[in-house]
Amino acid sequence: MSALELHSISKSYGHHHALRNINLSVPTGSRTVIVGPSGSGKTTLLRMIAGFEHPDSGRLSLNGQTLVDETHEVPAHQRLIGYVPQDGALFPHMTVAANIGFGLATKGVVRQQRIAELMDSVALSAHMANRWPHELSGGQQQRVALARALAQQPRLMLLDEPFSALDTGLRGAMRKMVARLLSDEGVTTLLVTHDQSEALSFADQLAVMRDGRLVQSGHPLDLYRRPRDEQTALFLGDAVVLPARIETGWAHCDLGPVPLDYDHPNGSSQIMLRPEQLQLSDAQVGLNGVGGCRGLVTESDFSGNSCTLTVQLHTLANDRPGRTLLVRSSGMYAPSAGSAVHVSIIGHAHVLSEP
Amino acid sequence: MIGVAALVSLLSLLPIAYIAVVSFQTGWATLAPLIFRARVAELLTNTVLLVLITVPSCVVLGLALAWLTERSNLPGRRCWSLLATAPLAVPAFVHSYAWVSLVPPIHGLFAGALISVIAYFPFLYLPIAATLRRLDPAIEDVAQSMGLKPWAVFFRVLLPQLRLAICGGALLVSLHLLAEYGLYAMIRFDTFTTAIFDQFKSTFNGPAAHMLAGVLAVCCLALLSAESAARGTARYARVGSGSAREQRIVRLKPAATLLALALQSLTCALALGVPLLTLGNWLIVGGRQAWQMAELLPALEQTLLFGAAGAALTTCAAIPIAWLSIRSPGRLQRVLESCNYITSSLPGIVVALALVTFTIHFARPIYQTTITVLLAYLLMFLPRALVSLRAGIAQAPVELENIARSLGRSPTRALWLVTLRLAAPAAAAGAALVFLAITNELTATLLLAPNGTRTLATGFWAMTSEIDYVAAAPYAFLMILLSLPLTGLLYHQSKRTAGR
Repeated sequence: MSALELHSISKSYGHHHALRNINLSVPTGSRTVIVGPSGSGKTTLLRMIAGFEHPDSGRLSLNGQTLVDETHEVPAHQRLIGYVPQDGALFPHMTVAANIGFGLATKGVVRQQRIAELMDSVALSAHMANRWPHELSGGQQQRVALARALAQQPRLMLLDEPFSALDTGLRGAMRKMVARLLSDEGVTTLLVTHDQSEALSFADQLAVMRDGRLVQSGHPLDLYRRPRDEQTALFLGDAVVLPARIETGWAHCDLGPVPLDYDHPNGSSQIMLRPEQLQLSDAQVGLNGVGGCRGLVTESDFSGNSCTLTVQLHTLANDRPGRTLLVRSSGMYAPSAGSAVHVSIIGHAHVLSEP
Repeated sequence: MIGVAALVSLLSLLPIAYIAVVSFQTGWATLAPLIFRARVAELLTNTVLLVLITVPSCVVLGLALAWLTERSNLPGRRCWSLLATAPLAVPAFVHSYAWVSLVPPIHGLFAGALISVIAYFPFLYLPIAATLRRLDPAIEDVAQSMGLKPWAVFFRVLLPQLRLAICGGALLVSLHLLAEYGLYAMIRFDTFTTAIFDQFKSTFNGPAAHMLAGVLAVCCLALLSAESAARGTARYARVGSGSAREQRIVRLKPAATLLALALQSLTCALALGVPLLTLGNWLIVGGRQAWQMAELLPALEQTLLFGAAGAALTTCAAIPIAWLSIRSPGRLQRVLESCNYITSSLPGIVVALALVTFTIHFARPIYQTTITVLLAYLLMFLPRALVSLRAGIAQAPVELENIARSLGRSPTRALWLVTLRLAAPAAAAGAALVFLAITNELTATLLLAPNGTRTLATGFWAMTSEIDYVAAAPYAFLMILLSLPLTGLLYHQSKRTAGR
C-alpha cells in the first residue's frame, strides 16, 4: 500500500520550471530517496510535501487523505509530517529537552519520560537534556533534530540532506543509525540528497530527479545496473558507454562481443558497463579467455588500494587509433604505462534506451 | 503586515510631503525672494563652512584614535577606547553649555566647529575602530610582501578598506551638524536650524520658516546622495574561508608613544574633562539648593514617560517593516524602508514644523498633545529600532518557523514562539537606543510639547536661556546619567560586530 502519492505536481517560479509533472508513490514503511544534482528541484518537492511551498497544479495525498489539490490545502501544522533540514535547525533559545518536547502535547512526568525515551532512541545520553544547541557537535544536533521530528509520531518523515553537514567518517555511521531507527519505528521516510552513494545505500526505492523532472525510479540496484539514459548512468556512478551493434542477445563493440542483460531488437545502440565489470590481466594470460580485447596502458595512476589505468584498445578492424577507457584495477595489479594488457568483461552489458 | 508597513512608511513621508505642498501652495513668485536673499546665503555659508571644517577634523581625529587603540601598543588601549566613546554620553548642547561657562566670550564659526568636533567625533571613531578590528590582516601582510612601505600600506590598503566606515560616520556627523539647535544657539552661531527656530518663534508658522526648512531638507537629501555615491558599490569582503588571524599590533617608538598619549589625553580633557569639570563646578556652587526637586522630578518623570512611550511605539511600528524586509525582501519593501531612512535624516526641526502644519490643518485635536510629540519621535528615530530589529529577525531563520509549523504549531503561534522570542533581545536594544535618543531630544520637543510640559532637555534649555547655569546643572547631570547606558550599549555593539 502506498502512504504518499504525488500526482502530476508542477511548480514554476516565473519562467523557471522547478517541478514538471512529478508522479511518485511512496510505499508505507519504506525508505524512499530522491537523488539529483543541486538545482534539480528535489528540495522544493520535499518542502511542498511538508506544506512550506504550494504546487501550481497537481494532487498530493497521504494515507488516503488529500493534502493538496486544486481546491483545498491542509496547512503545514495539521499535516503531521516530520521534517529534518540539512543543518538540523534546532531552536537556539531552547535546551535539547525543550527542543525535543516542542511537538509534544503532553505535560509533566509523561512528557519527561517521552523526551528521555526519544533521546535514548537516537543514542543521546540523558545528561545532554539541559545542554544548549550551540554546545552540541554537528552529529548530536542532527540527532536532536531527528528526535524532535519523531516526537509527534509523524505519518511521514522528510529528511533534507540530513547527513551532508557531517564529517565523512560520521556520515556513514549516522546513516546506518537513522535507517535502523526509522525501520524500527516503522516510519515511512522520504530523503533527498545529491550524494549518489548515500542514496544507493539508504534507499529501498530510489528516484532520480533532473531539471525538475523525475527521470527514473525503482530499486537502487536496478537503477544502478539498468539506468535509462547515459546521464542517469553517470550520475549514479562511473560508467563506460560505448556504441555497439546489437545482434540476437549480444552487443558487438570495441571490447568484442558482450552478452546483454535483456533481449533487445537488433540494430545500433549505446551500451553501458560499470568500470568494475572490466577486468585487466596480462596480455599473454588473457589470450585464451572468451571475449574481451587487447589494449595498451598509456597512463597509470597508482593510489594505494586501487589503480586507475588509461587503456587504449587495440582495434583489429581498421588502422585508426583505438578507443581509450578508464579502468579501475585493484592496487595488487598495477601495470606500468606501456604494458600490454587484456581487458575482459564480467557480467552483462546494459543497452541505454535513450541517447 | 504589508498594510501596516505601508502605513508607517506613508506617515514617514509626511515631512517631505509637507515641504513639497507648502512650496507648491506658496508659489514660485513668493518663494524666490524668500530663498534668494542675503540671509539665506549667509546661513548657507555658515552651515557649509561648519560642515567643511568639522567633518574632516572628525575623520582625522577618529582615524588617529582608532588606529592607536586598535593597531598600536599604546599603553591602556582598552581604557582609551572606552574614553573615546564616552563623549557621546554628554548631549551636544551640554558640551556647548560647558564651554560657554568656561570661556564666556566664546562664539562664532570656530567655536562651533571646535565643540562640534568634540561632541561628534565618536560617531567616526566607533565605526572605524570596529572595521579596523574586523579587517583581514593577511591583506596587509601581502601588501607588505610586495614591497610597500608601512605608510604606503596604510594609505593604499588600509584606508580604502575603511571607506564605508568613514563615509557612514561622516554622513552621520554632517546630519547632526545640520540638525543641531542647542549647541549653536548657546554660542550664538547662526545655522539653518537656529534661524528656523528664531523665525518660528517670531512669526510662528510663516512661509519664511517653511522655506528655510525646505532649503535645509534639500541640503540633507544632497548629503544623503553624496554619501551613497561616495560609498560606491564595491564590497570589502574577506575572500576565502577559515577564521582571520589576530590583528597585527604596531610597536610605537617612545617618542611616538608620548605623542599619542598626549593626543589621547588632550582629546579626553576637551571632550570629557571640560564638561565634567564645569558641571561639577556648577553643582558645587549651587549646592543643595540647585536641586529644585519640585521641578526636577516632574521633568525626570516626563522624560522617562516620553522615552518609554516613544520607544514602545517606535519598536512596534518597526516590527512589520523589519519582518517584511527579512522574510520577503523585494523592491516594494526596499522603497518602504528607505522612506523611513530619508525622513529620519531630516533635522528634528523640519519634522516638527511638518507636524505643526499638518496637525493645525488636518488634525486639530492632536495639535500640541503628547500624541504629536510621540509621532515626531517615531519619525525621527524609527531607523534605530529598525536596524536592531532587522538584525534580530535575521538571526531567526524562516526555517525555524517552518519547523515549528511542521511540529503542529499554527503560523502565528510559530511566529510568536520562535521568531519574536529570538528577536526580543535585539528589539530591546533598539528600544533602548530610541529611549535614550528621546531623553536627549531638544528641538522637536521644544516645538511640539504641550504647554507646561517640561522634560530634562527642555528644562535645561529654559534654565540656560535665563543664564541660570547653576539651576541648569542638575538637569545636565541627570541627562548624562541617563545617557551612560547608551554609550555602554554602543561600545558593546561595536565590539560585537567585530565578532568578540
